[in-house]
This record gives sequence, C-alpha cells and structure tokens, in this order.
Amino acid sequence: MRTRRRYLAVQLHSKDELPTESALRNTIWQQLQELYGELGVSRIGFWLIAYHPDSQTAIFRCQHDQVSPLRAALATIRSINSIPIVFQVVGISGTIRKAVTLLPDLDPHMVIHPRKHR
Amino acid sequence: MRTFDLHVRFNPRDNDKKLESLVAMAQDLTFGGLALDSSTPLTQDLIDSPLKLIQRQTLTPRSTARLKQYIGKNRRQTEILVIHSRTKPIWLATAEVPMVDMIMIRDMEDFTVIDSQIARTMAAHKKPIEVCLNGLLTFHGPPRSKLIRAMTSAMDHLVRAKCSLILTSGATNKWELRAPRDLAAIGYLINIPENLAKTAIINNPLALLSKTRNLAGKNPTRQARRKF
Repeated sequence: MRTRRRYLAVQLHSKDELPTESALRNTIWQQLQELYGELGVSRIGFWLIAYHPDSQTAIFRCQHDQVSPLRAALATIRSINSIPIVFQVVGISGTIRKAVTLLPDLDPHMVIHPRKHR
Repeated sequence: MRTFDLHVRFNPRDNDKKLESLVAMAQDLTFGGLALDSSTPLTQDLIDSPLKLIQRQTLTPRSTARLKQYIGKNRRQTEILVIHSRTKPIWLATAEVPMVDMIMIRDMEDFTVIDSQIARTMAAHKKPIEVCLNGLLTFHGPPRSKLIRAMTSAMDHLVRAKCSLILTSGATNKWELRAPRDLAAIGYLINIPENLAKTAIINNPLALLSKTRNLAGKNPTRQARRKF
C-alpha cells in the first residue's frame, strides 16, 4: 500500500541571511532527535522537499499522522547557526503540487523530487 | 477569525528589540492583537496600527493578604489583570476573586504546584489559566525534559477538570513570537489535545476579552485607564 504523506508549506522569517540547505536540514533533524529520539524521528519520516532562501520558503514532508510532532518541533526552533529564525506553517497539503501553490513566491524548479534522493 | 497573543514581555530598555518590529512580526504571523505589559510605552503609530494592542498587568503576590492589596491597587490601571501564583493557597484564593481575569503559569515551580484540587477549583469558578510556552523555546536538554514532564502532569489535571486554557508565547522579542497555529502545535509536546489547543489559542482569548470589555462597560471602576 502506498504511504500517505503530508507536505508542510513553510514561510521562514530570519534576522539575517537564511542558512544553507544543509544547515536547515541538520538543525531540524537535531531538534527532532532531541524531542522524540531516533525512534520518533524514524516514525515522522521528515524530508526537506524544497528550499528557496530568496523567497524564504520551504516545503517539508512527513507521514500523514505525524504532522503535529513535526510542527511542534519546527515551532520550538529558535535559531540556526546563531541566526534567529521563525518557522511559520502557512498550509498543509497531501501533494507537492498543492503545497507549491500555497507558497506563491516559491520557484517550482527548486522542488527536489523525493524519489531521486532516496 | 482574530487571534490574540495575550502575553508579550517587551523590554523597553533594549534598543535592539524595537516594539515596532515586534508588532510588524505579529502582523506577519497573522495575529489580530497582542497584550503588552501596562508599562510598555506606545507611540501614536502603534496605537493606530491594525493590530489591537491590549494592556495587561501581571502581579506575583507572596501571600493571600497581599493578593487583595495588589488587586485593589492595580485593577483600574489595566485591561487584563493576571496573577502569577506560585503557591496553592494563592491559587485557591485567586479563583474566588472575580476582579482577576486569569492566572498565569510559566515556570517549573508553577507547574509542580498544580494538582487536581486546584484544577477542579479553577474549573468551578471558570477562571481562565494562561499557559506560557516560552520555557519550551528557551530551555534545551535536561532542563527542557524536566519542564515538559512538569507541564504534562499539570496539563493532565487541567484538561481532565475541563479548565479554560489560554496558550501564550511570553515572547520577549520578535524572534520568540510564533504563529497562532504553530503555538497551538507546541501543545502537542505537553499532551494538550489538538482541538483543545486550538480553542486555547482562538476561542478562549476572545471570550476573555469580550468578558473584560462587558465588565468594563457595566462597572466604571473596572474601566482601564490608558496611560498613552
């Protein structure tokens, strides 16, 4: 059976220049591990689908029943590399295509197709 | 629907944390209003901004005798009067005082005081309880684990007793503000059910504000005296 997923369309607010993609991904992984442990992280199935620093937008993926833990973890992140940051979830969708439409400033070419990165 | 963050601790001494930028961030995060300490100086631009700014005052009495004294002195000067209680007798005494709008819990000691008796009393008097989530953002590692444990235990009592909860950020600068639904999402960490968290961020603050407005209309002594 196909795994059901949810895509979180996120607007980022930052004091200075936004962090690199790897710094963003690592900080979220670290926060998830701190809060839920490795077992919890594996259940959440977090993945960075798209990140566009110019428009300060990103799309994250998780399992369909794990939206609340991921959202809580994002809300508790205060800074990345000592730069203050606020994650604002603007919408949640079941498809990447719909998630992209929730972020009008996001360049659709920035979307990383998950199957290529498994 | 308008959502309110009823607790923002702005520090006017720090020039880096300008109130204007905090208000702008709150607007970006789709808040309809903020409650600031009554000592916060407001410019005319801020008063005219679309974001509704409300005055609140937090009192931390050391004894029940002091509680009545403080309330008598401060009730007229503010729109929302909040008691930060650290002991059980003050919790129980505050529940019976109609002039207090809500009771705040913020620190580890506050959460460990709460038991089923306090929760039942609060629910019986329909006194809203403000749960300040700032500690979950500021602490890391073992202190945060301990705080989550204390908060979860307190929330179990309060949710079981069907208390009216209000979730607030307790932000001291704009980077500690969180969007209303994200603030509700933090409730997941302390076992607040999703529907209750939404009510605690949308409906309960609105109900509190409409109640204070109605009381101010009926009783002139409750009318807030705006200093600016």
